[in-house]
Amino acid sequence: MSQWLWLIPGSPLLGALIIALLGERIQRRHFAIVASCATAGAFLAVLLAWLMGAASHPLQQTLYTWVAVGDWRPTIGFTLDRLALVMVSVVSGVGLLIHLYSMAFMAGEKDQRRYYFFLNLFLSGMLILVLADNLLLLYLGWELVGLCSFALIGFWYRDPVRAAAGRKAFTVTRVGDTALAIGIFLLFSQFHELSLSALLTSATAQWEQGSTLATLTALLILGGAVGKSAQLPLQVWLPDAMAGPSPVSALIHAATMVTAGVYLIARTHPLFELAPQVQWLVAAIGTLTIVYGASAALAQTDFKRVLAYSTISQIGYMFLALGCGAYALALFHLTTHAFFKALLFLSAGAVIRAGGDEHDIHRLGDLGRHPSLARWSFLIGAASLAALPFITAGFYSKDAILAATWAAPAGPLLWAFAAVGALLTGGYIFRAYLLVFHGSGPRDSTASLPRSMALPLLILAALSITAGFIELPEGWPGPHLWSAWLEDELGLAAMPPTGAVHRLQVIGALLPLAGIALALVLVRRERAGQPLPLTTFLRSGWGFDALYRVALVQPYQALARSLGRVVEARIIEGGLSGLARGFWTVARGCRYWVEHGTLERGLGILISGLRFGHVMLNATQNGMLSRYALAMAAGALTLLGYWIWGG
Amino acid sequence: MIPLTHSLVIAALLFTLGLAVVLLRRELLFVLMGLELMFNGVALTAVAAGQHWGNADGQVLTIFLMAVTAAELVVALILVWLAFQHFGAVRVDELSRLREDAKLKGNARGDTS
Amino acid sequence: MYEVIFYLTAAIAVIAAGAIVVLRHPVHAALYLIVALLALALLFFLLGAPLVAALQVMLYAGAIMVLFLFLMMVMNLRPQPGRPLSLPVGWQGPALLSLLLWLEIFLLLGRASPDDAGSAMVIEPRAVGMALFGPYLVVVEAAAILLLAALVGALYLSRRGRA
Repeated sequence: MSQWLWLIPGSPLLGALIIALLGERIQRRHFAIVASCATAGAFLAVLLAWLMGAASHPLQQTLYTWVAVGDWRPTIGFTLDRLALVMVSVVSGVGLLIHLYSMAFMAGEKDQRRYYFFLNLFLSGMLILVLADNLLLLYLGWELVGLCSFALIGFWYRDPVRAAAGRKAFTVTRVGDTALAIGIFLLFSQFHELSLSALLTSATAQWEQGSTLATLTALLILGGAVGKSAQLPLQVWLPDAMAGPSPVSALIHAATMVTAGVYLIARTHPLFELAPQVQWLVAAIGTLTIVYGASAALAQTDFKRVLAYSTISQIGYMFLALGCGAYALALFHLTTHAFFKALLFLSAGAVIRAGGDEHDIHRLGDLGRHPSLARWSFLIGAASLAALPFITAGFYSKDAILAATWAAPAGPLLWAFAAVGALLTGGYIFRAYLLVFHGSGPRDSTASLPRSMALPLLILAALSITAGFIELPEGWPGPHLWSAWLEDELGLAAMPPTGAVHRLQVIGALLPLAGIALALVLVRRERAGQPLPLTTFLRSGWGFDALYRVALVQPYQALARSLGRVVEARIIEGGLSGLARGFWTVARGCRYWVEHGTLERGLGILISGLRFGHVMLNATQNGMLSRYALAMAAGALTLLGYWIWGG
Repeated sequence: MIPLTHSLVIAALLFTLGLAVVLLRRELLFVLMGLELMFNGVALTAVAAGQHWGNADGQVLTIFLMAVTAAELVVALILVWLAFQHFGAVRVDELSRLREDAKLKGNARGDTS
Repeated sequence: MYEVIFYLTAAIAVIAAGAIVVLRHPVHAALYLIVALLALALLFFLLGAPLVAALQVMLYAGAIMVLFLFLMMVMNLRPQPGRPLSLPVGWQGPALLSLLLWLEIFLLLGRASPDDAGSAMVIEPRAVGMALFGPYLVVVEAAAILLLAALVGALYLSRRGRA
């Protein structure tokens, strides 16, 4: 199996290449099939890996040496250990479902080729990122994913707003990418090695806990993760990224790209353990983001923006788990979140499409007639998101995280924030559900979804319910497969004592119900015309956009304008034209002097010199023998004298 | 026993006097006589050197010198006679037809100075 | 004794050569040249080269100078145009010098054999002959060809009807 590892990222890459290079000959409706087959190839390769025992021991494949500089030879190499196995399963599985969904959803789109090209390229980039065995290759996947996300968010680029959204996503994540790059440089400068296994072993061996280098490196890597995963303070791009098509939002902003940061921190967790302050910072950022996202989602009126802020908030949970050392639990929540968030996005997409591209939840509620499958799948997704007890996957993963949080440093404080966030989660998602699906419009629907859209919804709904059963909470009888399975690689989370755990679980079970109650209250107030207090502040995402605009964007643009005026117009242009004028003058002068003056005069002098020489030399050819003899004798004498006295 | 140096000095004197004749006298025959003198100076050098080194090479050289001189002199004398016959030239100055801008005037008896 | 004769002969040769420079009559000059050549022959003899001395007298003074004098006679050279050639005006000098040379030769030959002339080594004609027909054979042949060339040249150049 090791030699087929390349198929996992290679299959979608191949699909993208075929679409790009041979796209002329493929009919428009076949692009979706090509792309889906490529993704299916990746998923099958992953299944094959499962069957061939990747679960028991890590697989490794090195394709070739990428660069050879001195004695540093990073390779194109893939490692499939359990962490990577979880990630590729999620990415390829959800990716395949979304390809299926896109076949019907984007069927009316003219630009199929570009869409599927970038979709496949995105998947291959994500899979490269996950499978990479050295940081250089990981960064390649990281950048590739960023590029494709830009292209897909701004897919309908002719609308300047959507194009701007794509640019914003790219620029903001770039800040994180730069931090990650500097972190990679730092690691390389210390260890001359970017292979992950070697790097992490060397780092734990050489760096002390709490040393400046470790802290700095962990901080830089955290910066990259924060950018890609849309955490505070780099979360401003995600709400605007809803400008892309709904399948794109489902793929990128539910399952894959935003989880890249979580994966990165999980992969480099030994470095974070060497810098406990940074690790605590991860938890703190996660906690703050949970509350931020949940509160902002409570005030949104755009259907997809609710889900966007929800994603921001949920990834905060994953960061919180990472910060508490519960890496396996973060991964657990990543998996369940992928399922129910993708489900929510796909259902929302179906509803929006059926409602004639209407995004506002109030108006959607007035429209009514939403496809019933969409309604039911949205409900299941919402339940899982809110972590309704026992029956949803989200319950198990979120509660596990809450339990682990209590045992961390400053645990109770973090737990309190997370609990508030859970409450608000139930609130905002059920507010959205009630406003859209229980609005004033007619309930029954006439539309039914095409099969390729319905199938993913059903699969995801099933997974959103059942995926949690592989890890029942602490102290319960039943399977505890997940943590045990990942224990070798990611370690076990520290759990609070059993009594505390039970109490926390009880509270955790009640929180979503309280959230639903909150939602009911809010909906009634909104319908009665009393909006939430601080609505504008919350809706604008706590004013981050305005803050960044004033603090960063406007000064930058002013600087650019002033540079354009002063530097470019005056200095460069003026300098260049002055230079050109100077050259022109010099050229004219040269021409005059050299051609008319120097050349002629010089030639004249040469000619008269030659004439003089001719006259002089002619005198020697006088034909007088005695003179010749005299000259010869004189010459011979001179030579003789030189020979005797000199040389 | 005559030191080699003295013989060489005498030979050098003869050579120099021959050179003086060649340069200072304008008549063709005198030039030839000066050449003869120069050759003999060389011959004296050779013989003295042969005496010094004690082998026959000096004498051999002198014999060849005589042969060469004889041959050269024969031809030179005929040329002098021909010059006298055609150009009436006895002096070197009159035989200046190899000059750059000479206009060939044929049998120019009247060209003598 | 030997040295005195040597230096005296050398002086005679040099003075005769110097005379050539200043004389105006070509025949006088030729006579002085002959004196110089004879003195040189004596010098050769004193330097232990009897063969070359003899050859010098025979070839140079005998044949080559005769050629010179023939040509002067044919060309009817005069120091000034118009004056016939009579007994040479400055005949005293060469005569004196030749007399002195003659006396010297008498002295030398009257004395012991050439081996006795100082301790100067004499190189026998036999040795010269061996050298000529030994290592220097090629040069001898070349000299013969040279003489042939001179002969041919002389014949050609002296043909009548040549413009």
